[in-house]
Amino acid sequence: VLGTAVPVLVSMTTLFAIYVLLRGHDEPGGGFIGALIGASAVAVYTIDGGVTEARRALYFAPTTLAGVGLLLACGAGLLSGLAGLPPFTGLWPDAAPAGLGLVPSVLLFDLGVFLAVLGSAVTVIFALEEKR
Amino acid sequence: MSLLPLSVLLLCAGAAVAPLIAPLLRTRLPLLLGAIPAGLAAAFALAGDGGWSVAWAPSLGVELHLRLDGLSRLFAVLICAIGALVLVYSGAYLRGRPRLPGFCGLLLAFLAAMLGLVLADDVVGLFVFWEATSLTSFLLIGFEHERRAARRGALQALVVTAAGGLALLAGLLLAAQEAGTMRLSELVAAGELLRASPAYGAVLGLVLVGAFTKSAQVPLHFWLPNAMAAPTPVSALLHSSTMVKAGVYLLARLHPGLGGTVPWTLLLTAFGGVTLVLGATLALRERDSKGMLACTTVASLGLLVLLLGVGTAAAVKAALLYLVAHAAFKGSLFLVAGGIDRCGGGRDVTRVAGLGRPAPGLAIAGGVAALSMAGLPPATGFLAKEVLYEALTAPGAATAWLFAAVLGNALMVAAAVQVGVLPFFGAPKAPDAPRAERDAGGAELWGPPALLAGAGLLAPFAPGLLAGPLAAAASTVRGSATAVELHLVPSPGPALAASAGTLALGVAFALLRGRLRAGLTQLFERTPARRLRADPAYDAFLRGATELARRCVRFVQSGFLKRYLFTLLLATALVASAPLWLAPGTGGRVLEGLRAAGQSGPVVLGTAAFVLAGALAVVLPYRRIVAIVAMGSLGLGMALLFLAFSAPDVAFTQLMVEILSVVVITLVVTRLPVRGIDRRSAGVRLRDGTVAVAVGLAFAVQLLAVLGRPPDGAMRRYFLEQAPEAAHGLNVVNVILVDFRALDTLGESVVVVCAAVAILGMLEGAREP
Repeated sequence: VLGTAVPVLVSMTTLFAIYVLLRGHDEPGGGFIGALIGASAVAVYTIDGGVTEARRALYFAPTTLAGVGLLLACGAGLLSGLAGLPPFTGLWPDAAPAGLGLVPSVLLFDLGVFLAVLGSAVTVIFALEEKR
Repeated sequence: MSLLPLSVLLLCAGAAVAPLIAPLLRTRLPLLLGAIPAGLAAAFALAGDGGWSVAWAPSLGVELHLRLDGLSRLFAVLICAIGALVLVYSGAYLRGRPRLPGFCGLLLAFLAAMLGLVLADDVVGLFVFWEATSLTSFLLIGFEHERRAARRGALQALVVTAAGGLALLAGLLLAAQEAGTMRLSELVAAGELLRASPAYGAVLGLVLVGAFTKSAQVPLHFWLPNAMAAPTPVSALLHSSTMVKAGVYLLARLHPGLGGTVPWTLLLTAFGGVTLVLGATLALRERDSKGMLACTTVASLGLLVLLLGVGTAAAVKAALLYLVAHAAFKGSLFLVAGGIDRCGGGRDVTRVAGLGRPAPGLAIAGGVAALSMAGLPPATGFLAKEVLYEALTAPGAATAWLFAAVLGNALMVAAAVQVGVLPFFGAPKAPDAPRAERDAGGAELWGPPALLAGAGLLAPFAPGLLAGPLAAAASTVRGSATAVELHLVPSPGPALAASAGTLALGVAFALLRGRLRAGLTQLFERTPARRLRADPAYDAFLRGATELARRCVRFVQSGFLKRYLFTLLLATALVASAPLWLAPGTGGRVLEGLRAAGQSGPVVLGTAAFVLAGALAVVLPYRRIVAIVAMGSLGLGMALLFLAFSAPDVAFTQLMVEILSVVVITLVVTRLPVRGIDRRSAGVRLRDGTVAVAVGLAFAVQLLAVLGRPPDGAMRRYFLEQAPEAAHGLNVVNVILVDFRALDTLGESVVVVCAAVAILGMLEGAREP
């Protein structure tokens, strides 16, 4: 049963995770919770197909994802420094100096949190699964 | 942009690109890089007073202020000019070494830090640059890190000066708090207030610790001779003419604010005087030319501190004049000593001789510099000594100061002769180094020391060139307008007599140098005086600190998970709720909270019962898998509760966390034997249960007490109003996470990643057999 359901389940969950990440600003959701949903998708995939298969499907090493996420979150926070504002001031397309606000900086920050949490959770899952 | 930030940035940029452009420029690299500080020296000499500031962390009230006044300009010009000469010299001294570009970059980085230090007009900025000089000094002393002595010297310098830097930070912050300003200039202007405040003693003590470590005052002097493990250009730049003067600079800078009191005068003259005599005495014991110069530097720094302690107009003038003269002659003598070493003469002053013919440039440079160090006319050192003795023979000056100065200066005359003059006379001895490694050195090797020494000779003939900047600097230090006049022809008086006495005594010491060295070696190594040596004390301190750290780690990190858990849980439960127990009215609020909880609807009560049942099932002795499922359902119940209180975000997150924890815990637990057997004895079980119940109760009471107090609502209103407006979001919870409290979220993300890396490391490590 699991073997048949996994492809559908995983793709749906992953999509849902990204959806939750993106809608987080106005409705329940956000980077952290999105990452948890994403991690559960990976967990399901791992239990079905094994770690090697899951690593291949993820493409990036989970530790890389976590590191990139942290850098992204830091960078998004420091971005406002370029505009002469204190760190972690949100920048928005309609109210930011030219070039800086193409993407809302809080979205970048949330994406960073998403990647950091997802990477960490998947790192742990992989490590534990490989130990079995 | 103003010159002030530009100069520091330019030096930093030079440091960064030095290794990159090295392949293009090869041997011309030091020459080209030297142009940066040389140009800056000229720019600073011509620049007028000014300031520049930028907000650094405005929400913390930290701003970076730079300013140029008389004192800063004097130091900035010295630093940049000597820095340029030393860079050029390094090219010849380290010719052919593969790490020369990195060395040049480090020198520039040091110059940037040092320049920032003398330009900073703000407590935090001063401290940052202060520590930056300590760090670059560490890297430069340890540049030849293959050698054990270099590593030890570097670490020692870092430990001593960085510890002093911390004391300085504490002292300056205390002073800033008393005066109500972080600006150094305002701090100094508030001198009346500072001197009258009850914290004056603490401020003075801490600041002095900082200054004395940096400027190598007894008993913290020992790191400076050991720092001679650095390449000679470093010794010339950092450990004679610039960095060690940072402490003196600090004292001069703070003099109008903290100086003029009895403790100031007593402490500075006492430490300075002892350092002067002891440093000069130790110098004559040395055989190594660099070691000898290092000890005389310690002595000269003592003299400067002594003069600042006296603090009269004449003493301040003497201190500044001597500072300039010392920077020129000591820097030059170090470069000469390095040149002699390169020419195959070695560094043993009792062996090197007869180098006047093969290295005439070095001989002239050494001779002129020694002239200034010995205080003979017409060198700047002579002028400095005249002003100095005038200050110390003036009415009101203690006789002990004069005696210390005469004795110290006489000893330094003998040292000057041995380092700067004697190597170039007499019959040449067999060189220490083989012919191939010898290098008479091009103009780059003797030019910089000759220029430096020559500058010391020039000053008396063009007194206006020196008098103007000195007057400006002296006015800054005194806090009031101070005129400086330089007379090449001394007027007869007690000062001239002291000067003549110094010279006579110095010549006698120089003639008796062999016997003096033997006698001093005997004194410091064979008699009980050797127990007072500072170096072994430092080693003992370091060993003690390491041992203490090891014991602490063994105590705190026992390695037992259960002990960690107990500590964490009990501390959280008891310490966190202690204020609550002590606060009045807690009992009433708990009752109020209980009543409020009892009035909740059937849905909530039912879910609560479900949660309780889950909790009970976890602790009952079934199989592990049952406990895991029970834990999961407990979490599920919690999520339902959150949902009932209309917090969908929290409920959602709780649900996902539960699902993932069940997955992870299953992965962990299924690796253990299927039937877990609880091997704990009844007593241990009772103890564990007691702790668990106590912690649970403490938290329950805490929560109830919170519930019993009606919520304020101010925060809620603020966030509900601000979220759509300032952060363009309707989901307040998420807006708080990513915008209002984004720094917290970032910190939590870092914790999550750290935990993952730690788990990975633990599992990977366990894989090793």
